[in-house]
Amino acid sequence: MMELAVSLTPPEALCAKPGLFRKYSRVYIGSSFCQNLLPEAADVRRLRAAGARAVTLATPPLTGAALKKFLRTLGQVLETEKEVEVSVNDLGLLAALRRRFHGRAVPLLGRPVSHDFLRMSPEFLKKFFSEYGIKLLESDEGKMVENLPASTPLKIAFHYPLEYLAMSRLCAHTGEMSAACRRACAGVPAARLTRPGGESLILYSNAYFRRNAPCENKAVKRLVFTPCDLK
Amino acid sequence: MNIQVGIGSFRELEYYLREGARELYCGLEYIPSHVEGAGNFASTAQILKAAAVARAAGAKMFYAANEVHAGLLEKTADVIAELAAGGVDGAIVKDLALLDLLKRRRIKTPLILSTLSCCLNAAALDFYVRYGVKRLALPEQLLPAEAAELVRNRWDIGTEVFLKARECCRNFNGLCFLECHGKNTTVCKKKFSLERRAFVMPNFTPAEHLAQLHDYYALGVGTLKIGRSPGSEISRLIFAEGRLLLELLHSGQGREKFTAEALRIRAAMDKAYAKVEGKR
Repeated sequence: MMELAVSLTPPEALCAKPGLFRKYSRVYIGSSFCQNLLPEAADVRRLRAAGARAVTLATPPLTGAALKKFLRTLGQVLETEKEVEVSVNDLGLLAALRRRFHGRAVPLLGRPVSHDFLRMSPEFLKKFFSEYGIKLLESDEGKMVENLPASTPLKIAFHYPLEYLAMSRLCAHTGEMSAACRRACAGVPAARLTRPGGESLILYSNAYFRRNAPCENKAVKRLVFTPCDLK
Repeated sequence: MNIQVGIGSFRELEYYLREGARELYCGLEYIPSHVEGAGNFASTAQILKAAAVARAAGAKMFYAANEVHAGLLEKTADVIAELAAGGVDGAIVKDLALLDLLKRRRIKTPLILSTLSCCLNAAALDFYVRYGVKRLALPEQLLPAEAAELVRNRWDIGTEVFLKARECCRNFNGLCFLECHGKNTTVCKKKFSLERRAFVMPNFTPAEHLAQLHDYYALGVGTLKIGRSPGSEISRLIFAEGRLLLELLHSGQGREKFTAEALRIRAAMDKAYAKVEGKR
């Protein structure tokens, strides 16, 4: 059976109506695209209190300081949670999960690093996923996922309605790269970047996307919806 | 800090050796190596010949194969094995499956982890060290203070940094899937409209980039890297600018003085770039 999940940044989760959590069997909290939107233990506690049945912590590529901060948070989360999923975009974090939280923090290979992994040899992926206990590969690339062979060893969590294109540590809202972030993106819905006669992009949560749709393939075990208010 | 430059032909090899380059790198036409439009050698025999010429001049030659391609995995490993056996000084890689294969096949050659791998922290570097990486091209989206744990690492892994004031992506270069096929299609530099306001993807200013270069130098980054450019004249200018900046860094000026002087060099070089760009 297909699992249905919803993905929220911490500021979005604060404003979410409790009914949202009843509609989905899992909530992603954090961001795969900005380390200033890392989840905190209090976010997880609030989600659980609001009725979230299962939680996945979403994380982006991490600087050393952000990695340390997240590992502290994870330790705190695991004081109250028996097990938690972590969507990983940093191989340093992946190694740390195996070393320090093996069996309790379940890694998923997140967007955007999954883009490369989806193009790696299936034999290598099978070995690598088993070695690190990776449960799912997360993707938003419809064409790639639709064309996965029936024999693929991959299990996919498919994200929609946004397909990732690019991200920067320079904030799209303030132009700064700073740990002293005041979360200028909070409450800002997805917006279209347009050019006359040119490509149109979607700016959301400090990354650039295009629109996609849920993908059908036997390998897809989970659909993850991002309620980004895209008009 | 030494300077390393990407080349795509024997003509460029001779030029940069004459100009004093002591580290070079190159790609092969049929193995993906990220840069579109830049020249690559046509065969391993050519690269081995180029490496021999470099060696005779006291320089090192590295080979770049820094893309992910499952269909070319074995072939890429074969090429690296052949080049390593023939005297090429190392390979620049990104694909984790390739690193794993090189390790399993016991292909011994110094491996440089491409900036495209986005290795942002010491734990990630530790991960890659287990695959035999000996040098790291620092990710572009890292501030010098954040890079300190990578530069002053406990594995004696050397580090490289691009001359970001001239060659730097606005987004994570290894995680960018915007259409980018040369100067005129670089989406990240275009002006967009965002709810009737102008929007340009943010970037550091040249002064910020140059101040960062000073800090990387002070940290002990070993190599200033000049990328392969579709225009060989542009590459030559970036190399010339890199050398001037290195001389300035070697003179030991403080951050502010260095940045001010480096901006003057940049302004002078801008005129030369404009001339070349006008001709293209």
